[in-house]
Amino acid sequence: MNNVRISSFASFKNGTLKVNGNVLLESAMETFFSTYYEVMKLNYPKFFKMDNLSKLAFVTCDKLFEQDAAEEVISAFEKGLIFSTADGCLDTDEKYFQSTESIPSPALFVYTLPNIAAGELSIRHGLKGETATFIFEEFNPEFQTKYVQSLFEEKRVSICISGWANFYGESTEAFFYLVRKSENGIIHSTENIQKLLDKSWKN
Amino acid sequence: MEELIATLKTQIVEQLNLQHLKAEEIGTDQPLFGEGLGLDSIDALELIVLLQQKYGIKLADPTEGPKVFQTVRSMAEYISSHKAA
Repeated sequence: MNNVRISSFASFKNGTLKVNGNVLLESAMETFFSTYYEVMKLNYPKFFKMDNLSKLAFVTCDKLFEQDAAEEVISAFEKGLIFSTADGCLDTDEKYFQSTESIPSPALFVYTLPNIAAGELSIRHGLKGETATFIFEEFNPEFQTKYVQSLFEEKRVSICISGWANFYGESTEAFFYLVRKSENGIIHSTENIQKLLDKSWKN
Repeated sequence: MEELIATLKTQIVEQLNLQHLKAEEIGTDQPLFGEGLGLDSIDALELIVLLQQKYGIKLADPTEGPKVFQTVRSMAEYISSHKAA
């Protein structure tokens, strides 16, 4: 199936958010998320309640559909999301653990699952199709490509966000791309995804 | 009471991560849930934590919640009456 294409992609590394390889926003990591909210004039109060992994995935994916030129209406049940991460919600786990020294925080507790970030993306983009979260030591383009390709072959999705986000310690990075059936765009292959990743994460 | 109300608004913004709002933008009699401030069930739990952490008040009867957390004013009145007790 060679008409499965990447129609847009976005990345985050070292305080730089890029969409289709172009810098969208650069800011200090400590204030990046609130700066993004302000600069992009978001009206999404729940953003501030999210944990860092969800915020990272959110800002990286936020413009994927805007950059996608196709205009056909796709059912939410045909919109998928294949998400992977290394450390999942460890950043939040530690904060929650600290909160248990006094009164455990319910708001932190609800983010102590690595797939909550996928849930936040699904809410934001109206994705009700196949969703999966995987844990890998690092982004695995080969696995991700095969998995997403199989979803298209089995006609389980018409459009799919695929990608990676990690937020823990020194590791703050994300890379997402939008895959759809199309005659235009970048052919969905491991090699092409690796190239986009290398290009995106290179400063 | 007015001082407590102002303090409560600041604490609500901090505890519930309402960074899109300034404390003074919260109406004293504005409903906290539903079409008012739009808080959700997790926020309700955080308000219970706030009462306990900042004022040492445990909401012993969960059915009191909807009445206590109706507005900032109802919260302030509950705190005043229970701190005095």
